Amino acid sequence: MINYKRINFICGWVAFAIAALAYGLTVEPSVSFWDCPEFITSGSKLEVGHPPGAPIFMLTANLFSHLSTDVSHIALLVNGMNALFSAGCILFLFWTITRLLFILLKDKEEQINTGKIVLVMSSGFCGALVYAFSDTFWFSAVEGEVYAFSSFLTALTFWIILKWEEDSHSVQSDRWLILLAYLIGLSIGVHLLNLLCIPAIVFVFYYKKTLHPTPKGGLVALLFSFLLIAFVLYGIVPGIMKMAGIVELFFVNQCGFPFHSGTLLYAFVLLLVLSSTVLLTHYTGGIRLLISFFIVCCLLLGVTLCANGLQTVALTLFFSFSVGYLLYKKLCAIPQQALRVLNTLTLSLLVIVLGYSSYALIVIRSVANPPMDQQSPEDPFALKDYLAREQYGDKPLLYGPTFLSPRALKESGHFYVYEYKNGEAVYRKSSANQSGGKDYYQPAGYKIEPQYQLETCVWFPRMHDTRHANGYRDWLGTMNGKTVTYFDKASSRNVVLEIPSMQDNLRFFFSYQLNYMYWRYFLWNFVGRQNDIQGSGQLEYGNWITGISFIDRLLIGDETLLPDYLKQNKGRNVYYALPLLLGIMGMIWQVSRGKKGVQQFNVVLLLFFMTGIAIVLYLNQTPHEPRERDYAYAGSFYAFSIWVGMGVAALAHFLSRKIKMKVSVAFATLVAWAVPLQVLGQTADDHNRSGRYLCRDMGKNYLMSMSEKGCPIIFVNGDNETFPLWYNQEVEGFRTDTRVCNLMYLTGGWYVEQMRRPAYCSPGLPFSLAPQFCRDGVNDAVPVNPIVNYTIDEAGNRHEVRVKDYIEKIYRDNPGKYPYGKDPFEWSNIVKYWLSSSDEDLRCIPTDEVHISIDKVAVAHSGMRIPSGVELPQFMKINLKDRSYLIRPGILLVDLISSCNWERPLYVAVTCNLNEYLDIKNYLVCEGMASRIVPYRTDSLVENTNTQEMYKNVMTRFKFGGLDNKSLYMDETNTRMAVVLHRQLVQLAEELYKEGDTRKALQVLQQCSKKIPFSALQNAEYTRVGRMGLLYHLLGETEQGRKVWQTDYDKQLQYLRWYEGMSDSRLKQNKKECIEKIYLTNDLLSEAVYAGMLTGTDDIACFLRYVSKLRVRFVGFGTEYTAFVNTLNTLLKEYQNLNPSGVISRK
Amino acid sequence: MKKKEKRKEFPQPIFGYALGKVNYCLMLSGYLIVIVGFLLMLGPTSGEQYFEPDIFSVQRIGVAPVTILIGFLIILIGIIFGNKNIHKTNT
Repeated sequence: MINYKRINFICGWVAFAIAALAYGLTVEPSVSFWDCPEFITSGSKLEVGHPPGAPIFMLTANLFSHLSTDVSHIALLVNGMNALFSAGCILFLFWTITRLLFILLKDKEEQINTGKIVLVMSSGFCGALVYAFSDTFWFSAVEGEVYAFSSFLTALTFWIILKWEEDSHSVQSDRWLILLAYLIGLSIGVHLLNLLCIPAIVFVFYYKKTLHPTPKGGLVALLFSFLLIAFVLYGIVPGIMKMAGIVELFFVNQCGFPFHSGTLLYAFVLLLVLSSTVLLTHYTGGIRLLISFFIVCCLLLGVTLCANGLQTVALTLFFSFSVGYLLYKKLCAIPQQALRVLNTLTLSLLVIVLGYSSYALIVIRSVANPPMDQQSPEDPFALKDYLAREQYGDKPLLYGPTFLSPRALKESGHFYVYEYKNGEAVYRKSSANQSGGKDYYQPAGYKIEPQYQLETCVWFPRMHDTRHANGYRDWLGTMNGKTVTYFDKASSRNVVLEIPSMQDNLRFFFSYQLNYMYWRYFLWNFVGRQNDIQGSGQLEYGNWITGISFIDRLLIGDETLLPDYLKQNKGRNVYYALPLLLGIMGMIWQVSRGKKGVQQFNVVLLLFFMTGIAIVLYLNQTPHEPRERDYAYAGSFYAFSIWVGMGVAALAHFLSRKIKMKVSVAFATLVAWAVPLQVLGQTADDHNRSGRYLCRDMGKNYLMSMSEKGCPIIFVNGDNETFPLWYNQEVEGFRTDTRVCNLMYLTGGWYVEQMRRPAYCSPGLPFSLAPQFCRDGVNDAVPVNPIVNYTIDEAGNRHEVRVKDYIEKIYRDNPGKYPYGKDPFEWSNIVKYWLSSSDEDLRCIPTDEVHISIDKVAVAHSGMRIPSGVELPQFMKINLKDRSYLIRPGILLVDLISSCNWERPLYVAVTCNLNEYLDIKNYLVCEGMASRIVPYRTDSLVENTNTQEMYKNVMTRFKFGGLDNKSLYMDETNTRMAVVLHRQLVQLAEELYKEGDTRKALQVLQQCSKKIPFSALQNAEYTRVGRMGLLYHLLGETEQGRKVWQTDYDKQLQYLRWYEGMSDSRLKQNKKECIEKIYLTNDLLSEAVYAGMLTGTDDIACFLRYVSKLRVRFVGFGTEYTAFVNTLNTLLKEYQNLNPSGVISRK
Repeated sequence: MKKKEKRKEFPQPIFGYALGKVNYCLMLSGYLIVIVGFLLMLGPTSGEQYFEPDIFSVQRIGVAPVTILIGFLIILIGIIFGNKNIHKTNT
């Protein structure tokens, strides 16, 4: 026995070491894309990241960040911490598998023979290492996200409950339960995923404490476990904040104490009551008294505050009586046991609160107002919303609107407006001058929930988001539909509408949410993955494959016809479904091992379900997610890996029926090592992030594209153009004179407030719109040139009178009087008379073309280059004609252009899509990875690239993230970024060529070839490589040009080959993509032909061959495709004008 | 370890408490350390007119967080520490 324990201990650490080694060798040396730079910033400098925050992660990451004095190593250290946590997860997985197997294999004397020990250890290694090397888990293990830590806690939690089960006969074993409660409390400060272990825990408890488990008992246990999750998730987590809010409000607003006094008092009383209840269990035997104290503790935690108004009272009474009654009924029989149970219960509550109190960190840091302070959760009200992730909005789960449901209307005066349901009251910290220097929470209305026409709401709404209407339709193809009629108040008539039926909802749920967004990920990890390119249903991207060609042919078609780059993709991993088979065998075998086996199976199954399919149900995902979401389900892959490990033992047992046990154990051990090795062999190349610095360097490139003078501001939008910049500024202290302003965040009032503050060497943003007019609820979205009246002409026709017409009329009728300023459409006057109006109804943009007057002296001083021949106009005119509303980011963008007065340079990241906010793309001049906003129009004659500045930036200041390392692994996100960088360089070279500076153009191209070789771009479908080749040719480097162009052209031709080889039904499905590719290839070819680059007609012939073949196929499909066939005919005809020498006679 | 009792029916519940004095003391001191850490983290704040470099001082983003983490670890140790401090109430 002692022998087994020691072997188990050592083998576990060996698994840990193997995993740690693998992760250590492949860890990313700096930040990674997506949220990692943000998390590393939040850890290193304790700034506040996105909701719901991760204070415990921040603390541990902070600890690791101190291990080096060199700021450029901090990211590596945090990544390394995650590598260790992940290896720790593998350690506990190993011990979990061996523990479960031990229970199934031990004899009556709790003994196990040597053969079985070998088998148990092999199983442990197999399961643990398959998971260690699996795609999803390895991905999170080598970067700075919270998922590695979260996985570690899940593994630890699961292992602890088994530990408890092992020695639950002693009183001390209760400690494991208390420890579990503490870990759950702490894990709220990492990621809420850990709460999903609770059902599995409850079942282990149930099986241990019940002599004869019954299905009915199981059901009760299941319900109880769900209640327990709800108790923590919807009770304690928001409840404490709500209670704190109530006390805080009373003390600050009623008693006039300073901010936070109520919160502190509440925290003190809560801890005092909880700990005295714990102590009381030691000193009194009065069960009824103790139960009352326990209930008081729960109520103090605010667990019943999740309802509104009277419901809260009812819930409180119900909770108190039912919990009191149940506890008393269960416990009164054996008073001493009652004490033990109550002691454990109150201690558990106490330690959950202790763990959860880590959130004080978030508040304290938010009060300090660091540059990154997302949602500014510095009071209990804001913190509650932060924890509930309110800004992400609600997704209907059981009952709600479909994506076609119209909003409900209600009457307001003569108009109908959207109906909202009022939620809880909102309070906002009041600034000192508003409340006479005293701290005060200003009531700021109520939270509102949009309401939908009830007739159009359905049960189990899986297609719910209006913004994804096209995505839903695309995915379903044809919608079955259900006709509903509702009364439209605005037009006062009945409207008939077709909304998705239950069948459509279920079809979407099964085919997309469950199959595509869960099982596909599952199979990636245990069967195989086609490539690492994000799929949205296509045959060539991101599917699961087996590696067994005849099966894959059925799944995705003939793989040999795929474009070469997809065939060679490092993310192509095949395991021949071996881990899956092992897992299934493990499941079957486990169930067949008697009562214990079935119980174990149920527990693991619960973990598997809760961390997989339950999340799918909860997330209610929409089509076209911005990235693959497999990381969210790592927990369920963990659970399945337990079965993979069991599969080894299963194999040995199945085989032992035919052959000797010894031989079968030997064979199973062989399999146990062969399978993880196969997985490792496949996944090692696409998880090796060593040498990759692209994320960090892209952040630097954005920042370095800006002028060194004048504390410039850069506007950004997406995650990957925001977080890397923050990381560079906050962690590495790089270009802290600049300011990053995320336009999406400007929709939140808190962010505007933060942008007003200075940060490091950068002064605050000089908004001219006063703070009280940028708050949430004020100027969120203002109408553009709204209708004020109607006139009826002689013919009886109605004409709209808009504000602009109205103002123009006043100014015409009263010359010399300027009620709305001299130029009423000038921005400063719009701010003064309209947006800052005390009358809410007047807050609008009174024109469809805003003027910003240009201070020519300031422009001259700004150092901005004005191209020769450009006469600065008097006004910069911003067109709003296509908009009926302007949302806050748009308003503030105009405001900043006006108030920065060109003295403070404004830039827009080249990857930032401004369209959503404002149309100023004709006022941008590119200077690298950012475009400067200029006062003159760049659309007509003036070039939109400042080649001089950009050349300097590209050649001397840009960094290329180690892309020139040919063996670097480029995943899709990195490739996309490399493509953007490459595009900018090629654009610069093109502009230089147009300007006639061929020497510099060639230099840029050579720099581009050297720093961003094709190896870095080969994973991308669209690149500027073809254009680059063309440019080489034009610059006289014909041979090089031809070579470069050919690589791109061949890739496109290979796509045509792939489409051409598809079966009829698949080709029909991929019609759109196929056409797109034909056009793209045609563009590439015709440009080359036009430039006289092609010497023979081989390339053209090759293209025409594919086009003709495809044409024939489409002709065969019938009349539906006539239009498409006709365009192909025209295309083919165009190429008939070629003369034999290949020189083109076409314009 | 207790001697094995092979019984068919449910084992008799054992009375007592999971944690002893030492555990409570450890947990209390752990939490006091956490509070000290939080106190160390307080200080002047940035405002609309002024950026306060002290928010990133060694005390506030170095000493304080490490102290807090140590406090949380001590609580954890407090929960699992030892197994001899159990006072039984056998009545």
